[in-house]
Order: sequence, then C-alpha cells, then structure tokens
Amino acid sequence: MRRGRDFDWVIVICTGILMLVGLSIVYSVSHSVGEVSPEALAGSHFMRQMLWLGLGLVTMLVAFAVPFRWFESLAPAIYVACVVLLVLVLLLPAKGETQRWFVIGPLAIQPSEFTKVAVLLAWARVLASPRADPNRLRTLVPVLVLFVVPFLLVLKQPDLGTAMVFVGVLLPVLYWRGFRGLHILFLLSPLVSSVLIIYGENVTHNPWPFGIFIVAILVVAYLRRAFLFESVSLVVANLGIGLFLPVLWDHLKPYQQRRVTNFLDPDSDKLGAGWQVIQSKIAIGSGGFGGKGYMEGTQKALEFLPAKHTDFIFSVLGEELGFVGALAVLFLFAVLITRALLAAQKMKSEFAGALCVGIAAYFAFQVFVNIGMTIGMAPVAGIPLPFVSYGGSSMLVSCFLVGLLLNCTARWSEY
Amino acid sequence: MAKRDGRSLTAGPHRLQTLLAVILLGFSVLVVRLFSIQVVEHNQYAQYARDNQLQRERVPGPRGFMRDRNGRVMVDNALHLEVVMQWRSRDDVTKALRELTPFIPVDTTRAMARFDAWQKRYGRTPFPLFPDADKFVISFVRENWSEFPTLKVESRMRRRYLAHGVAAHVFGYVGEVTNEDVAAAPAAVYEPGDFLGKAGLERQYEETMRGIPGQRAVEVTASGTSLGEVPELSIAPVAGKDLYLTIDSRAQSCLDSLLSLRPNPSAAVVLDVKTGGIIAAASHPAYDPNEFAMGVSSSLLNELLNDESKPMFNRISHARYPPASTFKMIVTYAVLTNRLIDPARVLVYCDGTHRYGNRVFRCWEERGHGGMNLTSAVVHSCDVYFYRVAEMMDVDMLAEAAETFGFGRKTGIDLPVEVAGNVPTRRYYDKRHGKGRWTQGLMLNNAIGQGEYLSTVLHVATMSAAIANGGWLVQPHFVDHATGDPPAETSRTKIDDLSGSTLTFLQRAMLLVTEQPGGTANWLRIPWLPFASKTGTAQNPHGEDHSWFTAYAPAGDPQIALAIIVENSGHGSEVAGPIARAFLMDYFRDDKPEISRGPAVPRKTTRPAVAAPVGVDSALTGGVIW
Repeated sequence: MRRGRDFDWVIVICTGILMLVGLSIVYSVSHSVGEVSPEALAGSHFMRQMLWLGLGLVTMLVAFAVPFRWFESLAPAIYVACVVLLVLVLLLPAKGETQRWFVIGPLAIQPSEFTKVAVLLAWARVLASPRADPNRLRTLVPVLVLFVVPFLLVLKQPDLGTAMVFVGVLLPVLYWRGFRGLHILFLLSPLVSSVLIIYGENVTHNPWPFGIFIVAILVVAYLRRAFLFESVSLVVANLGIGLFLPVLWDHLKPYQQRRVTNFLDPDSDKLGAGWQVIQSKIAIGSGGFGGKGYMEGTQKALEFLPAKHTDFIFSVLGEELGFVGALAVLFLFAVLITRALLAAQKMKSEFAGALCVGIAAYFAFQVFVNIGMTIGMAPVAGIPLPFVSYGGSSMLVSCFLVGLLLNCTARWSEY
Repeated sequence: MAKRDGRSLTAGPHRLQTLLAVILLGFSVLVVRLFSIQVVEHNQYAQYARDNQLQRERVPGPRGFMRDRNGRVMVDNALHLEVVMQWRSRDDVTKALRELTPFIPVDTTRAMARFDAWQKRYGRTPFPLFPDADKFVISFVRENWSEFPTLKVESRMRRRYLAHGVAAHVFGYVGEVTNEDVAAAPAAVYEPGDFLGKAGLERQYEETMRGIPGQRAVEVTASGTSLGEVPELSIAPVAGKDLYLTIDSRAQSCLDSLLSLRPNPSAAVVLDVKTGGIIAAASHPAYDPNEFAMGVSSSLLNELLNDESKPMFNRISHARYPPASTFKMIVTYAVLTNRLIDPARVLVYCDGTHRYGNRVFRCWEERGHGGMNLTSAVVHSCDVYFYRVAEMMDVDMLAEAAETFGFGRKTGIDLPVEVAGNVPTRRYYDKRHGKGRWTQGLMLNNAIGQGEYLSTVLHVATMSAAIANGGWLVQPHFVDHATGDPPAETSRTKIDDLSGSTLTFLQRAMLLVTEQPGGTANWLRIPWLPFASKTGTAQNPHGEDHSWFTAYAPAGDPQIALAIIVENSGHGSEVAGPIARAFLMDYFRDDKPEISRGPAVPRKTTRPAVAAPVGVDSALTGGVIW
C-alpha cells in the first residue's frame, strides 16, 4: 500500500478545515440577510454552497483517482475546450457590463475559472518535455502563446483580476523550471512600468516613481551587460512603454480609463470599490483580536457589502472570528502551499513537479490578492478566497487542484 | 538518469526556497496589516462600527431640459413630493393603512394591490404609500411623525411638459426603467425606480439628457442623528445636457391647436427650408406626456391603446399615406428632366375620364378640365393629363425621380421610429406580381400618387423644401444642439439632376396653384403673403379621402415648407389647405400690412407684385396656360 503511505493527510486536513470555515461563514452571512425560515434557507447561498461543496468533493476524487499522466495527455484538449468556452461567453449577450457567466438552470458557471486549470496543465506539459528550457525561445514562445490567448479573452470580458492570476501563476512555474532572474525581470518590468505610468499620470500626478524605476532598470542592464541582447531588450521594452503607453491611453474611452484607474486606485471609485474597501476595513478592524463571535457580526447586516458572501467574505470572517481567526485561515493556506512546494521537489515527473508549483502559486496568489483587497492592500479584483468564498466555479477549481496535488504526491515516484 | 541531472541544474532546492520565501513574505505582510487594523487600530474601527454608520443615498442627476429655438423651456423637471413607508412585513402596511384611514381616505384594496406589485419587483425597499401626495397628506405625515415613524416624505424630480399635449409625439415620454434597461446600460447609471426616455426625443436623446447620479454619504449615529456629510465619500451629481430644439414654441402651439380643431387624425410638419430644422411638427390626436411622468396607470394606458384613433401613434414619422396629388410635382420633375414631352404642348383634352384598355380612369373633376399642358395640369391637378403621361413613362424613371427627392427611404429624422415609405420599381412589381405579369396600367395610379407609392408627411415636406430652396435635399431634424455642443452642421445634399429651368418651372407651377384663378388652392391665397402650394386628395378604400396640403412661403424668399395630412376628411384644398393657410397667417403675422381703412386695393395692381419674385422662365412657359 505505497499509495496509502504517500497520501498527504496534512493537505486533506487543511482543505477540510478551510471548507468548514467557509461553509460556516456563508451560513452566517445568509443568516444575517434574514434567510431563517426553512423554505428560505433551502434556496439560500448556504444550501447552494453545500451543493457546490458536494460537487467539489466529487471533482476532487476524480482529480485524485485519474493518474496525472492522463491529464498530461489530455492537457491540449482541455485547453482548447476552455478557450472555446471563453470565446462563446463573449459572444453571448452581455449580462450588465461584463460577460463572465454561462447560466445553466440555477447554476452560473464562469469559464475563466476553469481556464486557470487548463492553462496550468498546458504549461506544465510544455515545460515538462525533455528538451524544454524556458530560457530559450523555442520553449518560451509556446508558453507565452498559451498564456496570451486566454489572457486577452479574459481581459475582454473584462476581468482584470482573473487575467492577473495567469501572470501570478506563470512566473513561479517558469522560475521553477529554471527561468533566469533577468528574464523574469524582462517579462515583469513592462507591467510594472505600465502601472507606474498610469498611476503616476492619473492618480498621484507624480512621474518620479517611473523615472526611478527606469534608472533601476538601466543599472540592472549595466550590471548584466554580459547578457547583451537581454539587457538591451529590457531597456528598450521599458522605454517603449514609457513613450507609447500615454499615446495609447489617450485613445481609450473615458469609461475604459476609469475602469483601469478604479482597479489601481479603489479610493477613486467612491460609488463602488472604494466604498466597499472602507466598509470592509471597518468590519475587519472592529472584529479586534478575538472577533465578535460567530454569527455576531454587525457590519455584515448592512447594505454596504454587495459581495459579502463572495469576494468580500473575508471581511465577515475577520469581523466575527477576529485576528485569531484570520491568522488561522492564513496559517492553513500557508501549510497547504508549503506542502505543495515541498511535494514539487520530490516529484520524479517534471510534469507533476510543475503542476505542484503552479498549484501552490495559484493558492498563494488568490489568497494574497483576496485578503489584501479586503484590507486595502490590493486592487478590488473580483478574485475569490479559495474554499471560503461562495461560488461554484471557484469551489470546483480549488477542489480539482487539491485533488491533483494529492494525485501527484501519492504517485511521486511515477514518471 | 540524465533527466534527473538535467533538472537539478535548473530547478534546484534554492529555487524552492526562494519561492517559499517570497510567498511567506507576502503572507507576513498580510498578517502585519491585519494586526495593525484589528489590534492596534481596533478601537477606532470598533467606534465606527458601534456608534456610527455611514449611510449613503443616491442623488439622481437632473435630466436635461428641452428648449425651443428661442431658448424658451418646453420640457423641464418639477419637484414632486411623495410619502414612502419603511416596512418589514405585509402586515405593517395593512396596519398603517388601517390607522391612516380615519384621517386620510385611502382605497385599501388598491393600495395593497400596488404594494404586492411593488414587493414583487423591488423587494424590501421603502414603499411609496402616497406616490402623488397632496399638501394635506404631506402636512399630515409631517405633523404626526411620532405616531407614524415609518412614514417619510421624500422628494423626487418628475418630468414636466409645460404645454401638456403640444408636440407630444415629438417629445415622447419617460417611463420607469425595466430590468433590461438597467442591465444594458453601464453600471450605476440606472436603478430600479429611475425613469428614462421611452419614446420621441426623450428616447432618441436619452444619453444626452440623462444626468449622472452622484451619492451623498452621511455619518449617522446609532440613534439616527445625522452627523453630517462625509465629503470625501460624496459625489455631486451631474445634470444632463439641455436640448436646444429647432422648434418655435409659438408656431408649435398654433399648429397643434389647428390640428385639434377637427376630430380627424392628422399630422403636420413645418420645416426651415434652408436647414431642415423642424419649426413645428404635430400628430393628432395626442396624449399628455405628463400622465406618464410618474409611471402611467394601466387604465389610462389601456384607454390610449384601445382608442380607435390611436393617440399613441406617431403620425409624423411612422404613418405612411399615398402622397396623392402632391406627388404630381415629382411626376412633373420626371417629365421635365427626361424631356418626355414638351411642357407647353396641350397634351390632352380632359373631359373627366381617361380610357386605358377597357378600363376607365376618372379625373377628380367630373366635368373635365379642357385642354391641358403641364403647367395647367399641375395648377388644376388634372388627373387625366397625368394618366396620359403615365402611359409614356417607365416605372423606374418615376421611381428614380421619387428617390431623388428622398421618397422611399428614411429621412434620418432624429426620432426613434421612422418608416421609409414605398417607391415601387420594376423589381418591386416583378417580385409582387411575377415577371411580365403586370402592365403599364399600374403606372396610371402611380402618376397621381395613389398606387403603390407611400410616404410620410416628412417626405412631402422635404420635397417642397427642396423645390423652395433651389434644389437642396435637407434632412429634417429637431435638435440644433445640446448644452455645450456646437450647433450641428446643416446636413443637406444638392439634387444634381435638378436643372435651373426645371426648378423654376416647378416653383412657378406651385405658385400658380395658389395665385391663379382656377388653381386648386386659389381660394386660400393670402393677399399679403404669396405662397406656393400643392393640394392632394388620397383616395381611401376604407372611408373618406385623406386631405393633403403642402406649401412653402413666402414664394419670393422661401423660409418655411410644410406638409399636412388630415385623415378621412375630403379634398386637400378643403380641409388641410385652410389649416395651412391659418398657420401661415399666424407665422408671418409680422409681415402683414396695416389694415387699410380706405378702399380695397384692386386686384389688378397686386398681381404682378406677386408673380415677379419667382422669375418666370418664359422659354418654358410660353405656351398656353388655359
């Protein structure tokens, strides 16, 4: 029974506790909204979350039982299927401003969530091939193409937050496969430049951060002048952004500009995100060290948090369970992520190794951005807290990834 | 084994450690921040949460006004008070109604029915118990606030149409947003309960006129006392833009009252011949858009929709009629442009009938008109002459002439609904009857504007404007500009095929309709205001004929062109004509000379003064007129 010996119970326990915490908080939120009568409860978010959890456990079992090699061979098919879904969802009539969901009966499905898994599987497969070297274009170009297609489709929805998750998962996986620091800088710095320029021009009206960043880039390029091509490209790319982004920016429509500045600076969006962040901070801060007690939260009852059961569920958690509860949740995620990274080291299969790193990065990024958003440290990005936030697609994806992780750890010695 | 080695080169343990370190560092930052909010600054946030609440209310952005060409307000917003009720259950409302009944008479059953509909749509939002509260109700609620703490007086803006039913179909009306409206618009623009334009200019210029809502954030203590506004979290609403219309409010009122003198459905439009700006446009019968401004009652809506005369129907741009004899101007144009016949030649001797094959077509004048050339045929509107022309004219030749003057396609007027009318071509008939299965006989009806030709009053008015302004096809429009925008540039196209001599011929013929004794509109002539016109009588198989009239004035220096149709009322000169005459007399009242108390000016002396400005082309009209 080698499989039994290698089964990672720590991951299972952490996941289980997180699921129970999530379910309890969703119940607490449902309760505050007044869904107390049995018939009201039946249709509440809590009951639906139970249903999703059940489906999630089945998904997890499937992801665990099927040998990961099968996923490796299926990766291209899964990827294509998800991209097709993303295209289809854009073709459907818009629901409000955004086009993110397929509605099938009572269930709404968000293909962009599943795309996160599909892209991870595809990258892992490309990077696992024996001759793969992310520092070479023949590997890097396919990886970037696999990244850019769903990235742009999700950006078109528009869902900046989910699009950022792709970046947050890709970079660690590339790094794990030996991507050089200079190359990471090359991929990441244009993004940083863009943010600094837009932020500097539209929010703080201060051009200096971008100037300092450019100087830093020049210094790095000089120090790494041995890699002449990379160094020059780095400088050219960032200067190019500095020259052309303002021009491009002026061509955006005002509402498009607003969407970007609201994302970078929620305080400027007093009607929407900024309001939410302030209310979220009041809720979390008023929770104090020990919290107000389960079901005792007061701020959740107010109208201020439209997404209190989904993206802003951590605000309710922080209010009711306090610093202790918040710390415990962070600890559980930290353990989960550490186990995933340690497992990656052990894998004999390159594919499984890359998967484990990707899964760790996925959870780390989602948790950091989601919690950071509720305490005003990260943009309000529409990124759910895995296992805790209400929402089917996120639950299924998180369960699938944990199942996959358990799958890899149990079969670590297989190629 | 080589593979293992390969990996150890790239993905060594230090990479794992770095990754782990970065992630845990990120998490530590979160922990530090949480610690600072939840432990260090806890008291401050707890204070916020315990004592004070931030409440916010949405402040709607006022809707833009509509002003006439002189800046006079025609549509604005009025403050409107209503009494709303906070409630938790249906019983609360029943109880409140029971307690109120001794003081304020309320129809409880109807109020509860309204409540049920409200609850279904808006959930647990405050219910407008008295949506249209009068002074008594308002003061009662304010005075007895301690007995009825759940009742609150709220103010909101309601759309006000200052002249009630005047230009109703032009302005349109506002109505409550539907869920689809909310979903289709950008976020935070509409909320359930908001109003938006549903018809007419209100709908066409919704995005221009609607305001951008703001918000008022107020700090409120637990006991409900307001601690004042939080400016950092408040946003001022932005008012929508005002529309500056080309309408002249006095002319508009005049036109509306003239149309409503008769019960018959009718439509009229008056254009500035140079720009295409609409000076007045009316559709009768109308409705009062004020009735819609707070949400129309279903009984009124049913009444309007079931009315035989269709008051909701916009006859200006949506109703198609046979252009009847007004269309003879197009046939005349086709004859002249294609040099089909010598206009001076006496083509027919009209004895009241025309034989085509074994069918007999009748002239409207049963006694006949005698010998007719092109000018006199227009002046007397002789059908027989045009039957004869029709025998010689190709279907597509006439269709092309009609299209040149804008018939058969939308004029592009700034109203949400417009129909194109119909211009039958060879292809149209082939499709309808089958290739070769129709005869030239169809053209006979077309040539007198019956047949398959269909047009709106806009088409006919645009045609007259083009004849008046020297051959420019203007685009009819209501809006000159919105606040802050530059005036719209005049959109018009030159009719290239219209030669100077043809134009002069058309102008002279139309002038003689009014000015020549025997002309169909001669009895309508205004001595001090020479105007050009054309009458029309659209035969209607379902009842009385429709009466058409189109004109432009003054003939020497044309400023306005108009087209009027009155349904089921008789001959053009008898019903629509007098309306046009009355309108012109009012519109050009300043040009009217002082009434002379002396002897009447003999007719002889006025004659040349009238005809002179037109500049008659003698080469074209040298023939016999009578």
